[in-house]
Amino acid sequence: MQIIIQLFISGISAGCIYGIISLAFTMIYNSTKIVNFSQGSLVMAGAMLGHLFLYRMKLPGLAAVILDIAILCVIGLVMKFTIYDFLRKKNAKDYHLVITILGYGIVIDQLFALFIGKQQYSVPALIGDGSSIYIKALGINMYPENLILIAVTVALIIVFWIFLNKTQLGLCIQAIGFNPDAARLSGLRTSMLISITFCLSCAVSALGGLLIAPIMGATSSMGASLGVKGFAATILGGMGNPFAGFVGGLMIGLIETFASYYISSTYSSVIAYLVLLLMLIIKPSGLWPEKGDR
Amino acid sequence: MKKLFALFLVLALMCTAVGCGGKQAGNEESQTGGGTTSGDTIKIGFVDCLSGGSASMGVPNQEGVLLAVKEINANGGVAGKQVELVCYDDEADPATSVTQATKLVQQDKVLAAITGSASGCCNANKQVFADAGIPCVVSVGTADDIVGTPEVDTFATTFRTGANESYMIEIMANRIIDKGYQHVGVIADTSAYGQLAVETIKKVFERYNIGIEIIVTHEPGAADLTSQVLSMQQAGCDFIYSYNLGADAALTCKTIKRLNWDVDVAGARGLNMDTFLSLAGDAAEGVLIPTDINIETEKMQEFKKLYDAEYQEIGNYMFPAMGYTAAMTLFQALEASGGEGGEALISALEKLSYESILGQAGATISFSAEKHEGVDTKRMTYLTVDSGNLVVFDADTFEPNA
Amino acid sequence: MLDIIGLSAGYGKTVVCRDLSIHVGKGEVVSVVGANGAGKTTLLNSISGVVSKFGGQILFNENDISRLPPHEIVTGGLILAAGMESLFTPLTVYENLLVSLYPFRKKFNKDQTEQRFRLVYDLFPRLYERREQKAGTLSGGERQMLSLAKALVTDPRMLMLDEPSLGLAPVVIDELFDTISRIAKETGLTVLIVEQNVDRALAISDRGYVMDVGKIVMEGDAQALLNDQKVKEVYLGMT
Repeated sequence: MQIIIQLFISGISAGCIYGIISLAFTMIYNSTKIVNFSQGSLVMAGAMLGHLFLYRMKLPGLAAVILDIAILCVIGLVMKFTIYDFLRKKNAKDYHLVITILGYGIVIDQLFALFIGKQQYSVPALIGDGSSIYIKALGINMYPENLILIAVTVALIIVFWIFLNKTQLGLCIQAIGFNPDAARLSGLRTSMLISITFCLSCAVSALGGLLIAPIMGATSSMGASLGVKGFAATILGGMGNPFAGFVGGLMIGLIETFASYYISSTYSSVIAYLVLLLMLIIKPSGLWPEKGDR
Repeated sequence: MKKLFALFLVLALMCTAVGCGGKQAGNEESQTGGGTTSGDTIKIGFVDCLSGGSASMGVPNQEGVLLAVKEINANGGVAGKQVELVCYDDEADPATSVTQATKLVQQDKVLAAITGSASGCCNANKQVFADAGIPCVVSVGTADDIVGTPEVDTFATTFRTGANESYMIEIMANRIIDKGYQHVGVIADTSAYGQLAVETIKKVFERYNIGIEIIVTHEPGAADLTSQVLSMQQAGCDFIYSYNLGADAALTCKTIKRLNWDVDVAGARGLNMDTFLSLAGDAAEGVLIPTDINIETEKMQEFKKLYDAEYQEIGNYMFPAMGYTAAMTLFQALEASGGEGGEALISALEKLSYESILGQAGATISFSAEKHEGVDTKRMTYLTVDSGNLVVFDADTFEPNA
Repeated sequence: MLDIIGLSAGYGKTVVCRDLSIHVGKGEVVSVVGANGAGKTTLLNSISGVVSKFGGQILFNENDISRLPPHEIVTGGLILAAGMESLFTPLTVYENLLVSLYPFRKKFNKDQTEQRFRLVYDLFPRLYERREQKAGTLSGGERQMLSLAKALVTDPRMLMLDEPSLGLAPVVIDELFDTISRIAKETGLTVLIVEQNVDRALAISDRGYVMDVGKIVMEGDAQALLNDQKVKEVYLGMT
């Protein structure tokens, strides 16, 4: 039983990594219907900046978080202005946008490799001294960074779900995604609201990077695989719903962990992707299909 | 607006080229220290991963080579000529390594080359040097088949000063037998490096009659290794051979600690990187790390002083020492061959017996017509982590069986 | 209240509206009628600021709004109810109204907001019944009502309607136009309607304009236009 609890918690922890990336991704998708293929690179940026601020510059935790979010927002806004404002005005086709987004991913990866380096870097956890904590209720040990990851991810999902569905501003942001023309005619400042969602997505990416890096290290090439898994989580759960992406992430994390133990540690990822494939065949729109049309 | 877009595009392409293309490392040097005409210098090539995930091996390696070049040039060079070093970065990519090696051979026309840390690259570029009859000395790369046996066509020109994989695994096999471990668990990653290692471990352990209880694998850059470690625990392992790198090795140790599992852990030589220590923290306590150097020897203390003066004090001097040794070995042979390359140099190398800074006191590097692996029985030392510091574990030498 | 002087507008390089001049006085109901493709929707969209103007002026309450961004035109009190396409179908009726009120969140306090909702629900009891239902599940008539409600909830000074009869059954059209007429009379709201259904539109209007291929071809008293044979000719003759 101990083993199952152990595996379960590990699976949840891995799942939260994918879930938080899915959330960042969903924010942009909700308001723009843009699939941000460079989301992984943004999370990487958050992680690498975490190394810079917390490890090299030894800044206090809060300052590092704020700076991290701030820089990522700048990057996000640059992306937003290029992709949403500039290219859209020129009536760019969807594939133009995709290529530009992918290009941004590459540029961000390379810029960080250039200015920070291409090795693996450590990022200290925001809380804790590096030793594990014993959780009596479950009878297992956990490292604080895993606990914080789970706690913060759950908190963010709840907060964003409430924000999007229960607040006036959140509904407006969703509205822009559903029908941008109608949104404009309703008097919404669509461009500014989309800038806000890009910033929200980047803030989540920054936090994601800061939470993930203490567990798996930070390296300039980590964005690709993280982005893919986050994307997979979103597809599995259903686009457009933060809660759905989170559940999708948990599923992938749990399947990976349990498959790794009970079936084969070498093919655990393959098994997770096979489940995803199966899911797509049975229910392509995801567990919670996206609301409505444009 | 269009201009802005074009500017951005150029910037993006530039960065991509800088990052992905054949960039020459920031610390590339072409040291002459004296005359600049090619007739007065001996050109030596160096290719290793100076950027990329393995740069934490390649960069210190290069630092060692540069130290050797500086020292030899200050003492009058080799056979009366100054040494000129040409360095290229292969980014741990075999294809790039071949390109860089080709440059060294055709463009820079080097006399000999020192190759680097990534086995895949060493295996790829040795062919280029072999085809040109240019001897190359492998400084760090561990795969056995880089050197191979005399029947292989690249054998003639390929020499290695660093310890090779099966040698290090044999050392570990000795230790396992020595300590009487009955249930050995192996954890490795699914990369080519990891999988090759697993194959070698299986072969060597079979020869020593050591049964492997369980082998678990994971993807490089894993986020969680709980199921892998649990599997080993459930299998009743009393010894873990952790053949992974950096963050993964650190995560292995952390997971073992977190599960309150009191088991002996030994790593591969890759754990000599600083990143392992900083990522593992106190979970690395007691982990055994094999290394080609013994920092407590007089010769290593000398080298440490040399290194610290040129660069700065670091945690682990293994990689710089290996680079330094590869270079010095080459220079010894070049001196013996009177500054001649090709067959003369190969001949000189095969007659060489050189007491390098690697290994225990009295350890030597020697080659022969049938043996191009320079290690002798006095090479390996174990390090362990004690209160966060790397310390020498055992001054004993570990001798491989026949 | 609304003065359009020599407006030319279109998409990209295509000019759809040419040199239009339209006047809507305070409290008036004015209709711009014409066949499909006459450029009526383009006219409304360019007034709203979402379609580019090539020339001319638009004055709203003496202020030039031709260069204002769409959201400022709306918060200035000039709002377009663009019909069924302008709804947020996955959101509920209530949520749709809430989104429409967002640009006015500073204008209405909590009580006033409640008042606006009550007002709109009183006008459209069916919407009140379906307030928790997703807009996409509403019938055609109900969707038009919601489009209207979204505009009215903001307490506009002037309302523009884009083809309110589109896709609706005759009975529903009657009900809708009655409602519009009633609102205009009771509250003195200024209304500009753009319609293909000439009879119904002119029947509730004070004045009318006839558009053909982007130009105004006739204008005058609504009743007069209704009875005018030429209107029928021009209208029927339009392709």
